[in-house]
Amino acid sequence: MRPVLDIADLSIAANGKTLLDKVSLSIAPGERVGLIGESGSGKSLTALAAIGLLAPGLTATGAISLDGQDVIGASERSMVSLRGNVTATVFQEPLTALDPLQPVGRQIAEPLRRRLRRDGEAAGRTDVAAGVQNLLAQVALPDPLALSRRYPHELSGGQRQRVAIAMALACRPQLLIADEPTTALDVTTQAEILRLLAKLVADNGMALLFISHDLPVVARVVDRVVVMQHGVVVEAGPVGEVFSRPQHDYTRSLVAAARSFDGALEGAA
Amino acid sequence: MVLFALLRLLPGDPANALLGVGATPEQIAAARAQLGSDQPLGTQFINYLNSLARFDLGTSFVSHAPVLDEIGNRMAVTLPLTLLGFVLALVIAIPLGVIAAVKSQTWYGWLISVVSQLGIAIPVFWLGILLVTVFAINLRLLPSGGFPLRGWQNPLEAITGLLLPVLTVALVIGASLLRYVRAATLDVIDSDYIRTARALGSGFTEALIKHGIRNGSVPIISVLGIELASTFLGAVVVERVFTLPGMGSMLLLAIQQRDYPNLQGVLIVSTLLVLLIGFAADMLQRLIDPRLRDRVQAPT
Repeated sequence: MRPVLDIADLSIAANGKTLLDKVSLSIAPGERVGLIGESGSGKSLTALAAIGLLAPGLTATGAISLDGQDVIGASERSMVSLRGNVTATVFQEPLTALDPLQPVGRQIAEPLRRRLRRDGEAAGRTDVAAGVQNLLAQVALPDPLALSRRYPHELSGGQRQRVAIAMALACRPQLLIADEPTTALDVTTQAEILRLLAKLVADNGMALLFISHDLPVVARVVDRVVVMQHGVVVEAGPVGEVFSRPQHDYTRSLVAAARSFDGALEGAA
Repeated sequence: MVLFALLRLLPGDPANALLGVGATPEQIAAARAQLGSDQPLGTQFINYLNSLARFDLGTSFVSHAPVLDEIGNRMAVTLPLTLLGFVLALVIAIPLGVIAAVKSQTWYGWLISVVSQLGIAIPVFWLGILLVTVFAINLRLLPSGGFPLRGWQNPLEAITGLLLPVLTVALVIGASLLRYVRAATLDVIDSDYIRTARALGSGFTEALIKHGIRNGSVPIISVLGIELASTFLGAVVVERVFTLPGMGSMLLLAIQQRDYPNLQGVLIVSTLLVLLIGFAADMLQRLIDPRLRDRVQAPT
């Protein structure tokens, strides 16, 4: 089966400085892959490159294909048709990722309307409104009707992230990219959002690229992990294998840190 | 009150100024009695407040015409000058500022920034003189200054008289507005919500229109309020260069003649206008940004 996302030997440089060095990564339809590494390791950069949204001034070399179409060197026009169609992305900080001046219902309606038109479905006012209510219910937000009229600053961090997920879901993408979606949230909310993401990905048969610096978090939602350090992939493999027999020093330290954290939790309990 | 006290602190006596150097002490005393400036300051102040409450700004020491009428006549010049100049400034600054931001990587984006920087550095009176030299003296297209005595009874003549002053105001204000528009647009382009919109399939231009305009306008509006107020106050210089009979020249003349009622009238009306503009800008921002609305209700 053709991979949804296929990255081969991707390097990114800014002003002659190499930020990413020959990163390769492939995600099959419906597959859930975790991308792990500390901040600055190039995880988010990889994700942005995959959807062709690198900041100007960054140059990417190598090959990226989304659903078989080249991303590097592609025109903005062809990228617009891939984004929101093949992929949808949920970003780290839901407060700034949402437009502060629009009620959240309208923000969900925007990608939804686009997707309905793309699929040739009815996209009238009532169709879209019903779709928004449905999406809000899918991300388990209470009282969708009242909530859709509220502004981002009137919601909690967890609610905002659910709205952002609903917006991504509205696109019905083949691949959901979640870039540190739980990092800005408190621990309880983190767990809820993770459960929600895992359920939605499974229900909708989407592939998932889950980016995090937090190994235990990643381990709960993905089948396979790719570990990055300093812009290079240092280890990749099925979650269980990487956890039980980490090959690289960096991975070992991540696993050890995660174990001692779990140990501390169990000791406390 | 502050205005009243400050003005009375100015050295010089209105009666002296009115009568000139050769006046006898008797003449001066008579003039003072007539003007009321021989009375104690407290009495003068109370009389003044009394008439202010009745929207009566008094009568000029010099021309004996009601101050409000004089201000009305002057406003017929200053208001169109300010508003037209300001609107033209917006027409110049908004599209160019957005282009300068969106195309900041190209040579023309860079050129727009540089030219606007130059525009900020140029003093208003110098630009006015430059425009007069080019359009009035070299090309002989427009009058170098002045305003028809009959005011707006001959609209065409009035407008031609205002063209160069309006252009001067527009270029100066436009240049500084352009910088703000550019900065606000750059902020918007870099914002996470634009990235989100694009990541979910919105085109760049579409995202800018749907999310950028409102977000970018919030910081711009507060600047607009300040710029409009300073355009109005800056009209003093422009009116001087083009010898226009507006609020600015009324202010200067009133100072020279120690014409306190006129002076107070100009300052009060100007202050009110500036406050009004600030208030309007504030209200407009609240209308656009729900976060500002909520701040009022929050008991913090």
